[in-house]
Amino acid sequence: MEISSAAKRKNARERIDSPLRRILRKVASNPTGVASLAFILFLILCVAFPGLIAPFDLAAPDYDHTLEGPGLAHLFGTDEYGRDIFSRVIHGAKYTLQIGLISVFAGAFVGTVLGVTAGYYGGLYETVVMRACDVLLAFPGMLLAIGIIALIGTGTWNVVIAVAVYTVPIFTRIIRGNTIELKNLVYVEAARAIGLKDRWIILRHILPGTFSVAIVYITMRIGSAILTGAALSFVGFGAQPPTPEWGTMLSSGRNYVVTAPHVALFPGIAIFLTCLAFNLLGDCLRDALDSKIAE
Amino acid sequence: MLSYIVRRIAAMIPILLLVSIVIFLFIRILPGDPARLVAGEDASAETVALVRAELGLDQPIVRQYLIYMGKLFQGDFGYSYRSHKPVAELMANRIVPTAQLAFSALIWAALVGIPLGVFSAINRGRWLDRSIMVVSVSGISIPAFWLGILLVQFFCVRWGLLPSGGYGGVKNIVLPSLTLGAHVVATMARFGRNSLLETLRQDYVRTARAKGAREWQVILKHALRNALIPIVTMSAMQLGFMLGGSVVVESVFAWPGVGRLLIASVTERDYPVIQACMLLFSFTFLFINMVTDLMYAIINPQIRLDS
Amino acid sequence: MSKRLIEVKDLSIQFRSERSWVTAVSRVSFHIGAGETVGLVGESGCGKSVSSLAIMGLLPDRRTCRAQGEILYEGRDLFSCDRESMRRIRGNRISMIFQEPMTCLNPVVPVGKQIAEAIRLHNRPDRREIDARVVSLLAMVGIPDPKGAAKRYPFELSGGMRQRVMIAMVMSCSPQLLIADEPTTALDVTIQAQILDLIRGMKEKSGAATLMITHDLGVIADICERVIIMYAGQVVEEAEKFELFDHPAHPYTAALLKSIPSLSNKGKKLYSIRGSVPSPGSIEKGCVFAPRCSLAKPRCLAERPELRDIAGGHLCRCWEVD
Repeated sequence: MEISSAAKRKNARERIDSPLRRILRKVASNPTGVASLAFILFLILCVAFPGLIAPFDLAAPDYDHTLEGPGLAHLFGTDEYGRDIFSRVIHGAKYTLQIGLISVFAGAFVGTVLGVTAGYYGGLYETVVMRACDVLLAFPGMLLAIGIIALIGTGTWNVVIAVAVYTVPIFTRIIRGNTIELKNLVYVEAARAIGLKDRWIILRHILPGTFSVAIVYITMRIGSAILTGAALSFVGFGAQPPTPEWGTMLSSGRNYVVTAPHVALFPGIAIFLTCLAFNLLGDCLRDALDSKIAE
Repeated sequence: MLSYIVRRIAAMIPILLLVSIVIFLFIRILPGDPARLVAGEDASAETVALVRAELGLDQPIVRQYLIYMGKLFQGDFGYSYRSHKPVAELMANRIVPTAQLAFSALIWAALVGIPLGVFSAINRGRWLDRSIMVVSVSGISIPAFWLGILLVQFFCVRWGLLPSGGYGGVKNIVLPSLTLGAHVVATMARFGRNSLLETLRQDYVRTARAKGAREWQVILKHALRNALIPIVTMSAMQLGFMLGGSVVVESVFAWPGVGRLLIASVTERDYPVIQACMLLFSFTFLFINMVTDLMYAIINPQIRLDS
Repeated sequence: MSKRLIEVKDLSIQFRSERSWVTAVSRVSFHIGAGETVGLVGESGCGKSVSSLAIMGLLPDRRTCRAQGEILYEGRDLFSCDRESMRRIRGNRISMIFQEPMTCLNPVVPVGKQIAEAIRLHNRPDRREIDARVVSLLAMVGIPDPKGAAKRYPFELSGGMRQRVMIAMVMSCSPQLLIADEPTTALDVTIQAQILDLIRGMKEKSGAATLMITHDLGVIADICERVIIMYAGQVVEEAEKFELFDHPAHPYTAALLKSIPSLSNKGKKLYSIRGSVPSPGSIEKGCVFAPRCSLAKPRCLAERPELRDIAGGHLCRCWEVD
């Protein structure tokens, strides 16, 4: 029997490859995916070692050089206190990633737990959870976040909480629907029939099934979380000056639109590029997951 | 069909009630004494007690809720802590500007976004598709407030074509509307593209081709006719999300809408105003969602006839 | 010899898969005479549906699918036809019905309108004529209350009804060739018989040639005159129906016939062909069936056999048969 050597190699590779490796390889083969990942890694570096990358101190004023445009000494120019905008942008990466990643992952985690348990156990518990979600989802995300800020006050961590809270019901609904589908699949029926404990079934059978749905939604929400967080800061509900959060910087930079437009330009570009990187990465991941499903 | 409409409206009522309860409890959850907030920091204990009685805060909570709901139905939204004016009066002439902003943004976003998505899908993989998708993903990544500032910078500061803010004529609404609609255009282009691509994969499209239909007939009469159903309902939903986005855009352009009022009242801790604004926004959002569902039911014959 | 309506010559089709091209159909040749009913049999993935899509000109675009060879329709090569000419043949001279009646009709358009569209694409009668023709077609395929049915949406009809509507649509322009791709597979057994009877009746009345694609040998025995057996993208046997059932030459055909469960074999184990269908392109040398064949010899694994005439029109692709 002559199976082609190409087929033999393919079979061997398939055995070594885990699905994770395959997805990573698909992302790696896509240039936009690689570029996005590289940019995000750079941001993580900015969060971990801001001092190394930023040439100037983020708070030191220099009243001789206020509102200077971009140049050799100051890549992004200086603000109204003479501070180097480039350094402040680098330091500000921390807050953006905080809001984007922590809030979404926290919201996704809580939402998934609620969704899986509500979908699996049903009954009064499910009804209560779903009604609570209905109430939370009765508000557009931004407005719910504002309401929560009104309740708990301003500040970066409060913004994280606010964004996480409006993310929870989104995930709860999706994951619950997914859980109900999975619950009705034959292999779950079989597991119950042989007497496996509920907790085991949930952990080993249902949770992995919700994984791909959760990943897709997480990638979709990170971008909007970053934008909402920055918007909240812009209107004054997030980090307060002199914290170099990008939305806050834009808010103060706004006063200089006529005289020194560069002050508002660069934080905005930073938000845009970060959001773009996450969205592109999300698209890439989704394509990779989709083709895996299609296979 | 009529029964579906009735059922859908009825389903909304419990949520409306729950939301009103949550918003009602809003002030009560806060730390601090609302009566003191109204009376002022240096008011005496007796003044505070008087205020408390006046506001009905000494009643059992269920009774308070019922009084609150009763007042709502009569259009009494309470009084602002700051200005002591009736909240209803503060909100009254701000509703129209916000509505104008949201609707104008939706219209232009739909008129531009949906065709972009359709062209993208038809030319899948080719240059036009790729460029539209690049623009779309940028559109959903761009912060609206930054876009607004950029637009002001070019159209006002540099070229002096349009005003940088304020309310009044057609010129005033152009930039805010563009800003608010940018994200939505991108979303609709992406969604429209996916919807149409999904439809083109369906078996009945293959049947249409097998019948000998011309390609434009296949796309228009068969694929698009079906793809538009989710697209239209999605557009209606975007209107709801734009309510949230309008809050920020109104800030950038000093647009005298409800969003700006909300932000100011959060900064000033003017809780009755916050409550009323949140109530208005959520009820509007729920209403839009309901209308969207009904619209979907009307367009989709399967739901229309299957009662 | 009767006129050859369709002549497929050395048809090969490849599909794009990630980095390379995979062969789905490899140098397939067959013909269909005017008014003839030919059966195309094979398991899923053997290339039978793809070959028929090629005849209809419905293959995906050149970026994902390549085809070589010739498909002659009344002497013209369909591959060299321009789009408009092909469009005029499709649905008009050559029509096709598919396997899934549940999803084959546009869900938001009433069925009468969909049939009317089929007529209007190739004719220009006026509105009332079309309406009358639609009603008569629906009646002809056995749908009760044809006038009312014409206004119904597909979701209001059962699977069997939808397939009848498809048949009505497809026969509306009196095609010369009807391709039926597993028209009954997705239906209940009782409905299957009805639909087959309907197809037989239609083709007898109109004199159309029929290419019946199926994996069910029972359907072949019922309706077809000549049978073509395909395996892994190649034609492995071709014969008149009775000749095939009485004297199956190719080991695959013999195995297929042996696999049919029969009431007289009570108590005996069901026969199945060992191994499984090879994935496209995985067998580069030798006979495609050799890995599973009980008669396989070394020569079978090394050289691909040619399709030879072994007995007056009975073709077979096998080294071990003569």
